[in-house]
Amino acid sequence: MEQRLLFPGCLILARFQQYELAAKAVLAKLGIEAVDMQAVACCASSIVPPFSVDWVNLPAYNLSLAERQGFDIVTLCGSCTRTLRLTQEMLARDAGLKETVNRSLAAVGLAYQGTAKVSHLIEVISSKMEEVGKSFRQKLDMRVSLSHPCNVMRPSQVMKFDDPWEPKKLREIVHATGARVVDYDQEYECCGATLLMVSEDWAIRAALAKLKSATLAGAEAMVVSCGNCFLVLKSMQDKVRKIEPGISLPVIFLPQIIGLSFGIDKKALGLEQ
Amino acid sequence: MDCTKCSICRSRCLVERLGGASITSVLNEAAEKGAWNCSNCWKCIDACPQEFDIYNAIIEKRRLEEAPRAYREAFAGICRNGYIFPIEELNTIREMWGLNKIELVGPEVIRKLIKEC
Repeated sequence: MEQRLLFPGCLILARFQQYELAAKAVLAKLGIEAVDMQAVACCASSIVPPFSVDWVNLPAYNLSLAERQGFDIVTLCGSCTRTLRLTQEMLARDAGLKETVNRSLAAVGLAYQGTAKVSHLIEVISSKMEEVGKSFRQKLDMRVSLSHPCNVMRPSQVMKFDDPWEPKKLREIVHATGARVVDYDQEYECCGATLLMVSEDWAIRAALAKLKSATLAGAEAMVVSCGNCFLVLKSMQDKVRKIEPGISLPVIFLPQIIGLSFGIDKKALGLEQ
Repeated sequence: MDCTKCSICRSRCLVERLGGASITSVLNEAAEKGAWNCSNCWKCIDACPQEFDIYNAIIEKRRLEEAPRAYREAFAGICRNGYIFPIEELNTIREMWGLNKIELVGPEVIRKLIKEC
């Protein structure tokens, strides 16, 4: 069986264990064992760079852990994916920076070469659509909306995956579950989760725009594939309802909806505890 | 390429649409501050016809502005144990979900990698 290291990211590691659980269950059906990454750290995201001139050491540390184990990485969060890929690009472009980073990594017994491929779950699943078809067991009779993780497609010069303005890959995967994908006018807008760091009001209003638009379009649920999207679109719905009381839209992680179509038990998908 | 202050990035920015000032306002000289006001969607970068390096502009401008409290706390969390969020009970929670325990990184490694910690 193919093996990949699962890079969960801080948010999923700390709060959304159901996403990791479901991703592992679905990847196993597709012939991929998602191996836990030991001693993994925060990716650095957009948080560390302004505070540290050495910020690139942190994602390089995570990448070198994977290299030491000889596996490629599968990520669950958009921001982690972008940060790891941006780091790879920076280190491939700048030999001096790579040398400096490797001096720091030597202090923790590691070295960065640039050999581990980093792919978000959407990328991995979309490369296994034949296996998705083989594992399909039951058509899902529901109307769903999609929230695309911005950082899996953008910046497009770094990510080089899907259409940066109107991505298609998530839609193709969800189509394979039999669920009807509902178009809504806020589909390609950012969820706004990162704005929670500076203004809860902005984040809630961004989430409201998406949830309201999807609800009016007839969606019965929203499919997400990033912990940040889930955080603002699901966990903050109580606060959204203080502005718009009628909003109540279930939010489901991508591997949970795929897993249902594979006939995987709800408990194994983190839909029941 | 240089920023020509064409404002195309502003038209794509979620923060601007919500009534705030972001890096796109700063670059277009419509506001003095706002580099921390960002949803991380990077539409500005893809929209820029000049392919101006907005990413590094954000980092540079943020270093000149006071960081919001949540960012300062997140960085402190990373320095404390390697993660943004509290993870003290992590392996107990993982066990409840039927996930294997994992080894955590620890502050010693982080301090060797990030000297500002």
